[in-house]
Amino acid sequence: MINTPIAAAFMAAALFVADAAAGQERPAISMTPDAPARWDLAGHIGWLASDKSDIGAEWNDWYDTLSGGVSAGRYLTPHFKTEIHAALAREGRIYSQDPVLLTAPFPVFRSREHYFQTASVGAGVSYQFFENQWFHPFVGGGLEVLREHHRVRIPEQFVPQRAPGVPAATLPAVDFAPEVSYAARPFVTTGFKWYVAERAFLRTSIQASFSHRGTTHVVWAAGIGADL
Amino acid sequence: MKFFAMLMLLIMVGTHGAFAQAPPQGDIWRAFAQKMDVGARVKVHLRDGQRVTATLIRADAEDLLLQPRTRIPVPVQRIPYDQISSLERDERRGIGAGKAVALGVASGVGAFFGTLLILIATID
Repeated sequence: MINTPIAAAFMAAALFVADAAAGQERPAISMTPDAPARWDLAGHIGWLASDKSDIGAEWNDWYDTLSGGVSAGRYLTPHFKTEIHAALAREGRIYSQDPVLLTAPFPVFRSREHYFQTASVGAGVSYQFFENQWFHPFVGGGLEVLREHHRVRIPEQFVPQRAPGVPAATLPAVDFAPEVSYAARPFVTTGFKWYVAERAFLRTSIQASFSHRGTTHVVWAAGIGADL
Repeated sequence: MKFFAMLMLLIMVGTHGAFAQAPPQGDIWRAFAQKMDVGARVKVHLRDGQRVTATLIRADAEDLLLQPRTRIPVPVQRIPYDQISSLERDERRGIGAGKAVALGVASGVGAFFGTLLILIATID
């Protein structure tokens, strides 16, 4: 699940860019205030969509659910910032179907409900366009670790009489023991900060996480924050 | 051949003369800035590529004093005229009708989908 080379390369590139940025020459007109912000704290709610095409059918391979989180950033320059974040999502669900042969020749299809709940922590860098303005688009990337709690439930199912001499049956519900897995994923993000006061802002962003299978998680988030 | 050489000489002398007549860029911007009203909103483009919107504080003999328009106030900046690539009055005031409409539509669409997503999230 952990794509270590990609993740390591991503982090190395991010840190290199941030280090290079720290050595930039100062412009002729300084837009930096006497007491520039050093920290950026924010909270958000968002919408998480996750790819489960390895489990779900084509028509049901992504689940989506509400998520929320917090972030803390440290400005290296007026444009570059390192940031850590933590997020927690509500449980999301997809379905899958398995054929069960009760009586020949036709199988019965039993539906499985897969419930996923993710929590994540991540670290990265971002580049914020413009300096000391009211509107700041940004782009960024980094690495996050996802903890995924996965439980499976097969609901009770009534199977009507399907042939003479074969009675109807009720298949009992089955609950499987939950599993917990961890994965490290590189991510990229973009969005904007819209300041509503000198040091308070609204922020919205889209973040996508990747694995060797492609995009695994996409989060749209909106929240509020402050520069300290 | 002689005619061609004479023609080239005339062109070169004429061109040189024309260059010699042009005043230094710094003098042009000084003269322009000194005719602007104090407090005017201006757009400045510097030779190093920096672009800034600012308020004109004073046009001195040597430098232009500007207050950049920023979210958090910054000190007044002193800009030598010879660093200026272009200087113009910024007539923009607030947001235009087009931007206002775009912002309104974007906010409305965002609020609609945001509410919709939250409603969907609450459905089991």
